[in-house]
Amino acid sequence: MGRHSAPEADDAAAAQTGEPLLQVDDLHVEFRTGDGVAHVINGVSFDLRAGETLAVLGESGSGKSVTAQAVMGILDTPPGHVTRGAIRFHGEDMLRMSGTRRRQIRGKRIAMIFQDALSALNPVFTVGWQITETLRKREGMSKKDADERAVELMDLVRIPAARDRLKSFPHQFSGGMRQRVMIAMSLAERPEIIIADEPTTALDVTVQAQIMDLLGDLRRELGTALILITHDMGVVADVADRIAVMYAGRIVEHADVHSLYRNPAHPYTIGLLDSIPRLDDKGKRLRTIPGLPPNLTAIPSGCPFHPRCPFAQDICVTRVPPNMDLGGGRRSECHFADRIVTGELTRPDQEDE
Amino acid sequence: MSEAAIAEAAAEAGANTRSLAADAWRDLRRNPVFWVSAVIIALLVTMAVVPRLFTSTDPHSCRLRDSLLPPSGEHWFGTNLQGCDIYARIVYGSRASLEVGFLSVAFVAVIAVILGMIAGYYGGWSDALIARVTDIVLGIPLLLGAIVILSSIELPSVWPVVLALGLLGWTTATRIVRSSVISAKQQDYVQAARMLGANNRRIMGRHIAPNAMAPVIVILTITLGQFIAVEATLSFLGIGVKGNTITWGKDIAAATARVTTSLGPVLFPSAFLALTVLAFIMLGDAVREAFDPKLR
Amino acid sequence: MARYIVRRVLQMVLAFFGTTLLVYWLMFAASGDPIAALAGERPLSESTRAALIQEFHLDQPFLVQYAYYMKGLLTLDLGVNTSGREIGELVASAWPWTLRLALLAFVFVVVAGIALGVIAGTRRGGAFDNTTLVLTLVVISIPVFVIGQVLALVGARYDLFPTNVVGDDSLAALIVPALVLGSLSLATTVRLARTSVTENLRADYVRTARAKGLIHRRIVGVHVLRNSLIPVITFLGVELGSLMGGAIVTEKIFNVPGIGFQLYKAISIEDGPTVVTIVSLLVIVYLVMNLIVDVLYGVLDPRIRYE
Ligand SMILES: Nc1ncnc2c1ncn2[C@@H]1O[C@H](COP(=O)(O)OP(=O)(O)O)[C@@H](O)[C@H]1O
Ligand code: SF4
Ligand SMILES: [Mg+2]
Repeated sequence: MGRHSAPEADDAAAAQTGEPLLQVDDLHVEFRTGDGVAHVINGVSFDLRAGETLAVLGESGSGKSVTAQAVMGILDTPPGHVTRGAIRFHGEDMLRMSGTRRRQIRGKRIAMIFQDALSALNPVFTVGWQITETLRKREGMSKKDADERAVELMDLVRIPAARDRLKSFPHQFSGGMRQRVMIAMSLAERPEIIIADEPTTALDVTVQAQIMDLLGDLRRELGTALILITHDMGVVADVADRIAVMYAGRIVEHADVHSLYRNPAHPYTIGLLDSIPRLDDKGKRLRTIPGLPPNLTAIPSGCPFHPRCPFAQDICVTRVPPNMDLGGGRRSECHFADRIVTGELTRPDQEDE
Repeated sequence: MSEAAIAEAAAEAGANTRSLAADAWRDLRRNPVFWVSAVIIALLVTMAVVPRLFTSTDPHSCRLRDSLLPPSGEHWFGTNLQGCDIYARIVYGSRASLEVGFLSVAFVAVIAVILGMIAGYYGGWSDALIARVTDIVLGIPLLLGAIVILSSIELPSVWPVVLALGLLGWTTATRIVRSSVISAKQQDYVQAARMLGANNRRIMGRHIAPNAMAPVIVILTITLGQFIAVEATLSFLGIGVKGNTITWGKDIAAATARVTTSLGPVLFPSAFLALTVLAFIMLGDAVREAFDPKLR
Repeated sequence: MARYIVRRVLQMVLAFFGTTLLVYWLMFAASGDPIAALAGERPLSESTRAALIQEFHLDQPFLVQYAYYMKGLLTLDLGVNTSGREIGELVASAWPWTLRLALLAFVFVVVAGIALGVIAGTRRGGAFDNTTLVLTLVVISIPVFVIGQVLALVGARYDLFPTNVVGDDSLAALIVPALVLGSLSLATTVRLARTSVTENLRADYVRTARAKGLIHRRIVGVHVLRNSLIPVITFLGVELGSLMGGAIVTEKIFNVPGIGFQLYKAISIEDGPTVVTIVSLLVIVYLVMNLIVDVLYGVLDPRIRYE
């Protein structure tokens, strides 16, 4: 693999400053079901540059997977519909491409890894067959060449005795190994972007760490850009460059990892950070965000977070907060973001402790 | 777990069962398929019990010179080869079909509930033994097995057919009882009652049987339709209900002796037979849907 | 895999002996008078009686009778019927007819059943799907003999197709009987395939296949189909066995001189030995088909194979 990856890594370094690989602009997605219209994505915008890792963070149901599916073009339609926005890949809007052109990007230039590899892999085909499927069908490789490539890929994701395991079925692997198969499969056509949707959620803690390490190493070696979706704030700190925090189908805060951890600029981010278990706060109670995520068929007025927000004021109920630019590439959708980020405004209930 | 907690859990489970049944009933009431099949079945049952309500013609009084008359005001569906009124014979023939259906399904229900509960509740060797016996009986296709049994019994009544269907037709229902008992057994409140040392028969009667009921009722309803079809098939082959009893299957067979002359003697009883089977299968489907909304 | 097959074969051997024992018992021991069970009500000469007792070892204990009978069955020595004809000959001349009829019906069920089921499953809720659901329900509800008899009647009356197969050696004459024989299996197959396809279309691996950028035809035709066919093929295999058993009705209606027709004749003339022999043979065919299906199931579903 190395021989192919070297130039790409150079490209990635060069592209770091250039034109974004992927630009999502004001994306809106709704699901029309018998129970009404669920407004699942309500104006999501973000950029991804070559070789960069963006973590997308948020409670379950906040719209992370739907965002990923919209980018991949694999939304379940119906009931899901993109109603507004653009998703530009190398400057070209994929939402306006022909189905055929879009399919040539899907899996080949933007690949995806799913949460539960056991159900995401087809149970009746060998892993070798599944890894090589697009190589044989789209790249026109012979079966023999494709198998060689699959062995390379399985070595790359550190599956031991790769050649012997080509003919194994998904259920014959452990959870961690299965996720490696999934990763190998996504790398088959050397994509420029990999979207990993909760790649470690279904795994044991120790295996989670191994898979995250692997993803970090692969990104460094291959220079692939990565969108890492997770609801676990603890996972992303070491791997991500930037973090987008999602709530009710919006990106409520967007920052580089260090700033976000040091000075969060949105009450929801503060809530998420407070709910990470830490070694040094033994004895202290873990704080969870009170209340439930909103019903997406009836999103609260004003700031959608206001029913759960300890900072909420009257204005939050009536006015949608602006997307405030805090400088240094940081943004936050909160009326008081500028004062929260500086620490001027603290959590009202903080003093009680 | 304390007594009180268990009582509470059990009450809640009881309430769940009840609300499940209430939900199912609410769904059923809104389902036209349920009403159509229920009305058809009610009519058929009335017909079987009091045939006089539907016709005053004697199905046995046939005049050969009336042979194969077309439908008319006097003979709604015309007459058959022997000159009997087809409509009257259909009305009186419903009894044999429904008797066989209900009796053999009752037979199956008894076997299935007993064997299924033993296998599911106790497990172990009794489960293994019942599974092997089920395999053996499943190895005999229903129609063929019934042919073997009936070819050696000459009794002129519905009972031989009931016996044959009951003896051979219990396997699916037993498996379903067994699996619903196993899933009911794993519920918390049943575990709790067991830990408290409640007696097995009481647990089965009070907690497991009500929960395992729905799928059993569904399969029995559908089986009833199938048994009516098998009885008609056996009678058609001349091996079903013997003697003078009027059955749809025998009439259809008799009518085919002179195939090219008249369609009525075959078509009318066939239509009633098909409608009866369809009604039971639709009823079973409707009940299944009501109890398991996932299926929709 | 080998262990799986061995286990299934052992289970089948057990079921085989259990089932044939049950058939044999139902025939002879369950009725009080084995001679009557064999020859019916008609009066028998003393010598025929003696011959029957000797043929079926009726002077021996039941299990010994069964053992003799099994020996005959397994060595293909099927004995003679009540009128002295070799049952083996009877079966040998009838068998090809039933086999042809059942295979024709089977091809029809497999091809039409899977095709219609897959189309309905991929268009769930559409007009085609709803029509299919209603029609299959109707077919399931109408007993096969009614479908057959009505078709035979209509066919003969308007001279649409041959309704009497005896004396007509062409495969064409078997087409309508095969359609009738397969009708119930077809309806069930369509419904099963439809449900299976719909369920698999919702599976996570379909999303993965879409994310790989595969074309829709390949996702349905390869990924979904291969998974959906597992229960369908299992069902179909068992059906091939029961199609032969079910041939009795179809063969009677269309006068196909096959096994089922012979069985029907034997029932009408109360020829017990022929009935029990043919039923046992059909049960054996059914069991062997079940075994083949189990093995096939292991081949199709790798999760079973390696358990
Ligand atoms: N196929 C679908 N049909 C209907 N609603 C859906 C579907 N997929 C997602 N949704 C809705 O979109 C919301 C966001 O889902 P998702 O993006 O999966 O959240 P997460 O952030 O946990 O990945 C959910 O609340 C769900 O109700
Ligand atoms: S806008 Fe108001 S409610 Fe929303 S996050 Fe900021 S303070 Fe909380
Ligand atoms: Mg998700």
